[in-house]
Amino acid sequence: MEGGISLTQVLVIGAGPAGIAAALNLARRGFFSTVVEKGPSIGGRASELCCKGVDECIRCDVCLSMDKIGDLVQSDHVRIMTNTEVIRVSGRPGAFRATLKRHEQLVNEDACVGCGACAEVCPVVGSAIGPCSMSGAPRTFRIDREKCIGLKNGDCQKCVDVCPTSAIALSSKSSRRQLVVGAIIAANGYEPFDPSREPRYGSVTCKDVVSAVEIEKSIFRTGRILVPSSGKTPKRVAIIQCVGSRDDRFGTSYCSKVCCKYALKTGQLLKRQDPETEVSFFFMDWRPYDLVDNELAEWAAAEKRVSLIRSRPAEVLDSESGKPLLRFASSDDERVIEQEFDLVMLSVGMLPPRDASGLSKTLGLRVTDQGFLQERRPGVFPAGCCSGPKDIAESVRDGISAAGKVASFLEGLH
Amino acid sequence: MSDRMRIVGFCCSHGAYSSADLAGVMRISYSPSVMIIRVPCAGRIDVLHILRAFRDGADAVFVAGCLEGNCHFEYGNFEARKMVEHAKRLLSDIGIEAERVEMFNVASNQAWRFPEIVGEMVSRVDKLGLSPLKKVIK
Amino acid sequence: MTPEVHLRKGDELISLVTSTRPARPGSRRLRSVAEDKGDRIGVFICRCGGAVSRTVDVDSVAAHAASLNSVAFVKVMEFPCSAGGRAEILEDIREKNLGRFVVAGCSPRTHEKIFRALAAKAGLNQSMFEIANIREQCAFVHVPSEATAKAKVLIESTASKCNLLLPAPYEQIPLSSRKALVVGSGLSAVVAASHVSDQGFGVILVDPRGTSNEGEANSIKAGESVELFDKTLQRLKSNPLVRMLSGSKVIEFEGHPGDFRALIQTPDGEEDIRCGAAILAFDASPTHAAEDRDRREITQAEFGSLLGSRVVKMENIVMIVSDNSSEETVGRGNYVDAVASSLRLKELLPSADVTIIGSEARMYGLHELDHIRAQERGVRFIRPKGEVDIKHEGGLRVLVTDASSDAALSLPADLVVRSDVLRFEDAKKVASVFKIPINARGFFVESEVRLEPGSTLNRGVFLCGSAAGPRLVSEELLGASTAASQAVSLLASPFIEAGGTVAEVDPEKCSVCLNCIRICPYTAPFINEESKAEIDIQTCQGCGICVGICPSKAIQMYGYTDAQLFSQASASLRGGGT
Repeated sequence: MEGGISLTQVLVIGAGPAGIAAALNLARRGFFSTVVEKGPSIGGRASELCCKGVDECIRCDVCLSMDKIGDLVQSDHVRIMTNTEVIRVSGRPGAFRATLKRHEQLVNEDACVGCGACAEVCPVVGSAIGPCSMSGAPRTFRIDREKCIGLKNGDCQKCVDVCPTSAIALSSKSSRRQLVVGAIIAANGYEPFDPSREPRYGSVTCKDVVSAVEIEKSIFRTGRILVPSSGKTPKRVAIIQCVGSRDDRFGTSYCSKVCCKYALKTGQLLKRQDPETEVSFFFMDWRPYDLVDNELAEWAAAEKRVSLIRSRPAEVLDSESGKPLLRFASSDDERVIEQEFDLVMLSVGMLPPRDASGLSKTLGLRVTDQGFLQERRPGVFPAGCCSGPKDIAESVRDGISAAGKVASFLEGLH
Repeated sequence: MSDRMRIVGFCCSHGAYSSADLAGVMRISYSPSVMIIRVPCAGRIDVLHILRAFRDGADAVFVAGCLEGNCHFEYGNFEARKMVEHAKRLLSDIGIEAERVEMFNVASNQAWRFPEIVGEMVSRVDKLGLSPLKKVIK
Repeated sequence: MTPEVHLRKGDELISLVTSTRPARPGSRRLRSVAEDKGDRIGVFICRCGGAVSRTVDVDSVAAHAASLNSVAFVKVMEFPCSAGGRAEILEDIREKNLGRFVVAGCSPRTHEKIFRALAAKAGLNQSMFEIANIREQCAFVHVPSEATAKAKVLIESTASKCNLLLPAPYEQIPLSSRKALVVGSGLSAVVAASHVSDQGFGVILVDPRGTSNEGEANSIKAGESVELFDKTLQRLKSNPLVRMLSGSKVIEFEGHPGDFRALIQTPDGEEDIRCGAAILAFDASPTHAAEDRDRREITQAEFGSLLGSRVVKMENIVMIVSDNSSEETVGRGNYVDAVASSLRLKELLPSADVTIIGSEARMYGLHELDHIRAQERGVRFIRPKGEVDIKHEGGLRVLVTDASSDAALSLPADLVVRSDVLRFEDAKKVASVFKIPINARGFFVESEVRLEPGSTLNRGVFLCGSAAGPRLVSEELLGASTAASQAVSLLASPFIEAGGTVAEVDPEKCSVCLNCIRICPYTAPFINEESKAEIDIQTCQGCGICVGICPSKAIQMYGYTDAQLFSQASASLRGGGT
């Protein structure tokens, strides 16, 4: 150690697939990482997605991060801080001084054991307190600020009183701490496109028009894809590609890379769930980032009731029956067709993470025209989706690769 | 021997055992009759384990490995399936319903799947009744 | 799914693994010393701050545990996994002279490592404990009346297994070499080698085709990658950490992670080297079109070198992009390659008229921006309906029907550029030297353990390059960096851990049927000098497939012996008391 240079401490921002992979790879080399996660849970957005395989693995890779969470939490070379953000970085490469802000600990993470007593007494419908993560790590609970009535009027203290470890404090304050690290990996992920920004597709007005993210959550909970309004298995499903991708209106002229892949897997799950379901894919170009790229055409040819329509639908309306009504130009001629569906899935694209521009200033990274992060100064390396759309496997590769870059950089300081 | 229903589930540590853990975290309840035996891989299972479990009073036995093509040991789950098929044949030879034993494939992050499997095995036992071997063992 | 051909499954290769090799001296049947404390089991039951105890009546469970014959000591604790809790257990183990213990609480998936470390600290063998999962798999999923009964059974069955535990072999083996062997002649190989050396580790680069010697980049894809290849190669040549063996190939490779031996055939004869890890960085290379073809029909690679020469005079260029997964091509980069070269052409010759014909514009992710750029620069894109024909009379003409307008087009062409046909020829030989399976299409197969990208069934051997699967150039670069990072994290580790839940053969019972050798995914079993099967603990990954398959029941596995599993299952069926 010379001049405060830290050759073994690394700051990893984000506990998604890329961040986890980077921290575990660094740990194996004997480096210590502090993994700072803005949200309450470990696993990133991947832990909100679900395996779409039944009996046979279909390579969605969602289990990747899940399987390594256990290793991460048990590693003595990794410290994980959830609900924490990096607000300032000073110093120089090799000796960065990072200021971390830990948000109010309404539920003290060190004390909470995830017993669930609080959720049972919570008077709010659907409970304002619940497990902070679907992945089970960390096992602590969290309070939904929007729902909690105790935070609003101060009357309700039911969870505070019942907590066996006195972990809940509704008047908690945020805290700060400083950290000296040799290098930084920014793996702060992506933001899924919010379909309400595209009002023409009716996701706000029509209950049965849902984003692919919502569909994933439904699969996670029940293993099924159901019609939100009726709770029944859908008979006719439309899958619309490129919602918030390849669209200049939203500043997303790029392709999000993962949507064709996951849409096909969702379509296949729909058919396994009920072979009678009609599935219609609406797309411009079919480009699954996968090993077999004409799988859609082959599968559609082999299956009954799967149609491939090369058309970007104009709009989704509420029909008289209450079902979503899709208007689109036929791919064969210019005819406008109106068709009713039970369920419309919007294959939403990937946007740069919401904090990309703020973090780029804090860390001194370059931001592309599309808002993704790029390397600019020594010692700070972006990894995963924050530098461009990636699937889970590629994010993991990128995280491991970033760990190598950190090692090269610190090696160069010797 | 009591007449409680008992089901033995040999669960691969990477897939089914994790799925059961996750079901716990999500508080998805399932029948307490299932007894989980953790194995490093479903491929560790031998036909003997299945048969011995019946001899010891199990009403049903299942083996749960990772999804096909996602085994942490490449093809342990395929080997397990062969063992289960073999056990099914042996059991039906001695007059025990083959439906009492089954092979499942579960991914680590399928919280809903483990309780579903347990439900499936419980309903099979409900239909078939408790194991006929229960009468003869003490 | 394409059926994958597992190399070692072939009978002709049985000889490869049955060749006698001596056991590593001193490695076998080494038992830890601190085991013979009798069968005194301690049971530590976790209340988990209420997470367990609010559903499970822990005191009644403790009373049941205390009534079990094998159990010598029972304690109910708040948090056994906390620092204070662990210290308490440590003290109890010493004071009560416990030989093994059961912790009833959280899932082993999150807490096994913590208690393994504790066992070691207590002077026990690391495997002399078991976890009864009464939290996630009991308290959280059952109602109180049922949960208490079930917790009793769980602890009883776990204790009965614990009673039969055997001290497992654990070894920390020092690395005999911290160098990486990188094999390959293309972009992936030089990039992987440079990443390894940048991270401070030595590299031996074995370059079968000799491209590093001649500075020839003809084996790699067109475009900017040629420049990158040359630049990286120059850096490697001046790096003292890198040793290059040009025009050489690996003819033998054996050993363990951290301790491999490779026999290399160099132009100057055979050389024996040692390395700690290996990276196979083979790139599939574009094949040259047949000699008798029309000279105006070329491949993207040939077009790339034409662009490189910067003398392009052709005005009308038609590119025909083949489907990525068509029989003769590999790689998902066909469309990306075509668009990239159209952009380079437009830069050199803005007046050029370029048409790209392809059924799907596969411009993944940020590559789409190139697609837009090409459209802005006037490149024409056509999605064909039916076959694309070429008329050779006089000037070339490409006949195609545009799928969107149904118009039949006849495009004049000075040059027709087709997608590269990529081939990887040496896969079989290399695969057998490194014991890596290859699939039906001739690609190396990565391990299915998905969070370890680039790893193979042969631990310590990593993969990158397009020979490990279809790749864009950007993916080749990422793959090389990932494989280098994986290899270095192995080379940088203080020691290699071996043992734990591994399988072991009882030579008395072994009938040398070779079933274990056929079935093992990792080639861990071999026939030793006494002509009996033996399992190499450094290679064994602990799946237990061989244990079930062994007809003589000669194989057992630490932590999961038949006796342990029988006893656990039996107790879970009969146990629980009243």
